Amino acid sequence: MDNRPSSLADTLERVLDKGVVIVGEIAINVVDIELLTLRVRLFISSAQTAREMGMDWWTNDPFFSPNKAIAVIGTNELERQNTELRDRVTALERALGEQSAQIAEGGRP
Amino acid sequence: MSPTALCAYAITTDHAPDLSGTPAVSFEVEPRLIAYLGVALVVAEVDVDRFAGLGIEPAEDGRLARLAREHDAVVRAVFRCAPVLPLRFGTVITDSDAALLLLRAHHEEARVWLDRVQGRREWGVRGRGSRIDDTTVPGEVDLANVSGTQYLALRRQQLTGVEDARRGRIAAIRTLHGELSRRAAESTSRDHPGDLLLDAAYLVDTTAEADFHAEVRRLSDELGPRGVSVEVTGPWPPYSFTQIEFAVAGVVANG
Repeated sequence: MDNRPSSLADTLERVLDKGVVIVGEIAINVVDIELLTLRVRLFISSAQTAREMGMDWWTNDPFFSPNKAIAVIGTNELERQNTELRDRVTALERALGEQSAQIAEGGRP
Repeated sequence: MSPTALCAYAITTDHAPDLSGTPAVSFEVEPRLIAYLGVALVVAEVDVDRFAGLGIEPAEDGRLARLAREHDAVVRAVFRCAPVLPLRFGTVITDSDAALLLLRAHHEEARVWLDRVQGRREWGVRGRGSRIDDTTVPGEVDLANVSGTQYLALRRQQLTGVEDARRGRIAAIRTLHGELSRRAAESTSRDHPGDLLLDAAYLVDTTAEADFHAEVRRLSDELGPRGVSVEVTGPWPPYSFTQIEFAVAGVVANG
């Protein structure tokens, strides 16, 4: 049931973090494993990876992403003002049109 | 000029087949065995420089990714035909004298560990929970027709619902870990951050694998409606069950 290839994260978690450790003067320290493991952990748990896994619910949650939420509110507010202004302009244009029509009618000899 | 040394991958028995010339195995390195009294170290000559400045890159084909996969592939090549104690990635020793020094100091201990993992494979099991949404627990209510007291009662009911769901999950995950541990020779689980409810590894006898997997399927079917998805990885060489440290005293006399 599980013949899918192991993910890089799973492989890294095991080869970096597990297995027999040899210490003593015969071993040459070619890699700072602790640092590397730490970086890998941070990388794996990063939001980017989480998002790839589809766990991005917080990006639209104002509690976790207040900036985004503010941005959303800002856009909505601008949209609302825009619509309101457009409606007012239309109303004024219509009023003006009616007025000038009346003037034209009234002014006809 | 890049200095060469021996990269060590695993400890195995001296019955393990020689890896050189195995057609299924293609690495940049040429792994071979250094044997001593029933145990052997799987090594390959490498430029020390190939490990220099390794960092984590997001790409699957980054240098660390490639080297880690190669390490795993060498370990697996041996693991297919003999018991192994995988060594941690990046274990480099000075030369074959150093290998013998290591085997001489630890061959008895290594044999005990090899017996322990013989005929067994490691399986990883993870349980991941979706978010329990408090607004979806009881049905939608028309708030216009609800009094303040009724509202508070509803709110409490919602929160208790979330708490019950959370507890139910934890209990179900415990059952899963318990049942799988019973079917495994050894088990280990790690602390699980975030939405990971279980991050465990099991060392399972190959003869018990069918039963183990049947149980995983049965219990993951039960966990599904609770919003918990179970994923299995493996088979792995027994990485998680060979967290041993072999100290080697003495300096290798070399020219």
